[in-house]
Amino acid sequence: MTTVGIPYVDPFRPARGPFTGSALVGLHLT
Amino acid sequence: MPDALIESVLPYIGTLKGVTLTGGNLRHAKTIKPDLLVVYRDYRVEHPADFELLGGRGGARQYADRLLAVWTDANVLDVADYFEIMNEWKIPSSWYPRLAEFSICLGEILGNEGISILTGGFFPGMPEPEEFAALYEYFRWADGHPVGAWPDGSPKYHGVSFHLAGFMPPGVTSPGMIPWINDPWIAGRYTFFDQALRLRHGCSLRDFRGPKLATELYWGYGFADEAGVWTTGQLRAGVRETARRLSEDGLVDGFHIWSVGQVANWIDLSPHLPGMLS
Repeated sequence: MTTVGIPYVDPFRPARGPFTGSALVGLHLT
Repeated sequence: MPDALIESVLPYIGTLKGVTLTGGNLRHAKTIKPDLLVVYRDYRVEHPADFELLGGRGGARQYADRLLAVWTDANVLDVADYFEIMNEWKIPSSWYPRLAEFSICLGEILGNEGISILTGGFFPGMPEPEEFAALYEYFRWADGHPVGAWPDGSPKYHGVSFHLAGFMPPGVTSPGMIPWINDPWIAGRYTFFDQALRLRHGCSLRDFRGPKLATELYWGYGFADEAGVWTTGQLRAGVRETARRLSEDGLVDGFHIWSVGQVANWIDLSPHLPGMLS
């Protein structure tokens, strides 16, 4: 994938720690 | 709030944020679900004083001490995975490079204590994309300075947070809803942050190794008088659409839905739980 002519790399996916690659759903306790 | 309410949503969530006085709930949730990503912010320290931001390492040290005092008092240092270090602070555009330097100093000082930070906490619709891109030096520094490791052995990095509006599927409407629902500048502002970073520095927001979290997100202003605007079913549709959009864009690692709890004049989504998440 390129945008404005700059190829970007994604060397850090997939998951690391609790991050799954999809957005984690959560709540804000106030 | 009742721990039973928190327990009812744990099967459906991957992250939980709490503020002052919710430390007990966070601890309970983390005990039951150790892989839950827990974020904490203490509203007794909202943001640095001007002289702390602009005061070099000494200013950062003083602010770090103020944060550590309230986090220690709240007894959350062994509970939260990330600490949001400021909240919705409006600063002049020319200060954003200083915010990057300040965040590096704080990341270094608190990282030495084993504490991972989220800098930013920007208001929905803020900052300007070019201002956000001025944090590039912080991102580069954070990528090279992990704070320990996760249980799976992967390094843990300092991160960044911002507040967003949620997405709703087309056709899900309410007479009382705000007119800017799905507005790309408020719900999708992270895409402009990403564009600015690519234009200015040739790297994507997603290349930054630390977490990018939307630590407050709602389909409105989030005040108590909006309680009747959305049904539980509509909120469930909004949660799913937001998770879909954020996952598809691949720039934001998670979001915290504003808000659960009966405090001040903020909306309390307790009556919609766990239905809006299930």
